[in-house]
Amino acid sequence: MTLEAILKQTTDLPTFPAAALAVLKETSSADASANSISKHITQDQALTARVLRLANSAYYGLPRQVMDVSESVIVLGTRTVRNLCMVAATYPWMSRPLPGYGLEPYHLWVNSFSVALGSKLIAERTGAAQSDSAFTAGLLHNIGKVALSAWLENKLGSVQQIAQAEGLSFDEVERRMFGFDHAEVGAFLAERWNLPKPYVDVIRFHHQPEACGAGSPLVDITHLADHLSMNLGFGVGGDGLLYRFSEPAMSELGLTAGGLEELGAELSETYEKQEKLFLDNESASERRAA
Amino acid sequence: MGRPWGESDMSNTNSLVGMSDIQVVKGEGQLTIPGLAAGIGLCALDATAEVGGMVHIVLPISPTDRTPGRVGMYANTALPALLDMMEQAGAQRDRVRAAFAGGAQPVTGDKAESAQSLQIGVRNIEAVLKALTDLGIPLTDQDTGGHLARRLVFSVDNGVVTVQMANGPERLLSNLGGKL
Repeated sequence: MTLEAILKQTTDLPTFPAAALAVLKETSSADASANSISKHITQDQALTARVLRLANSAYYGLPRQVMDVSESVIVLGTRTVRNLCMVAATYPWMSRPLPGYGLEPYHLWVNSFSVALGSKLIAERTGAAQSDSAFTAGLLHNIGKVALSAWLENKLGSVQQIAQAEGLSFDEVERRMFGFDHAEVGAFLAERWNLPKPYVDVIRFHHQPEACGAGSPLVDITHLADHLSMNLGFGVGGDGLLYRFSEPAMSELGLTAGGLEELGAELSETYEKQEKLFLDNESASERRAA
Repeated sequence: MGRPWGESDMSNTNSLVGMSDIQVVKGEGQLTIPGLAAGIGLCALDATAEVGGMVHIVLPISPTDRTPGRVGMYANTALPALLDMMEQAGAQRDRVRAAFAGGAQPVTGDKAESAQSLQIGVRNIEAVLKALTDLGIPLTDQDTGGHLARRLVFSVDNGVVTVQMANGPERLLSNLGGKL
């Protein structure tokens, strides 16, 4: 069966709100202003509510209430607003369980958010990419799992067995089984949503950074952040650590295994605080109770 | 036994042990780490004093130039801290026995992994074994390596430690209390 045919038969495919895509594009433009960004945010009620809630949260400690989205953009800064919009756009379907990957409710969210934070840390440490682009790339890298999970539901045990018996990675077994893997499925969805090409590349090549060719720091960054998160155990599912680590991706960015471990320590120390900032109280308590 | 993967029984006496957490229980109680990857879940028990503890270690050795925010993060700082906490709860160090699980690794290629590769799981196992030796704590059982995540459950009242690989059955890792 082709990838297109599988997606056609998959119900409840994830979507990416038009307003969030417009914010993503607007915040990448040199001409962006608080007004131009807020114009897009206010097209979406959920995004508007989240941005206002964060601007008025105790973290920012403002002496008066911010009532206006445009003012919130000024208070929070363009990058934070953009990252918040990406979280708001993806959280509803990232919090679903994905039995095909052995992921309980919220596990994909935990994994994606930790890869987003890890990517941001690596981008800041290496200066190889903009940190907010790295955050978005990390957040979106596994969207393909949402679509492919239903097709793996009764096959997880077989995939694990084949991978372990033959020394293959999980994505290699997916490719053998379907002719494509969750990364390819995610890239297909990202293209359909008209996401900018660098994000499509990250989603497609995050398990095979060498296949993307040299000069793709965003792909290398996401690959390393993904491995850090997997090693630390953030939202790890039935595919566990059944993936290959790319040493060239690490050396391309001038990092060492020791340096990555230090970033892992930082990631594990900051995850909870950062999650509280990005999730509203209701979502955060639901997540922690799960 | 036989609980589905990822599902936890969290009643009043049951606690989740998060990353870098150290928890100590006197008497009855169950401690659980729901998802261990390269990290190590170590269980220790003084069966006579009925004091048990669990730590979720994330990384092997704390850098000398950096004080960890949480001592439970690194193997070399977590184990002494766990024993201190157990002693404060009434345990006697020479009666403590331990078991641990975790240390999973990514898939390796045809070539041997170079020293530059990310080998957190392997280094975590080595660091925990060294820390146990340095502290003179006997190790009863370990379940380490491989590529899959594990769930670790420690029932302090009877000293039973079970481990469950992702999508697999729950099985006995160790009976630290010897009371079965």
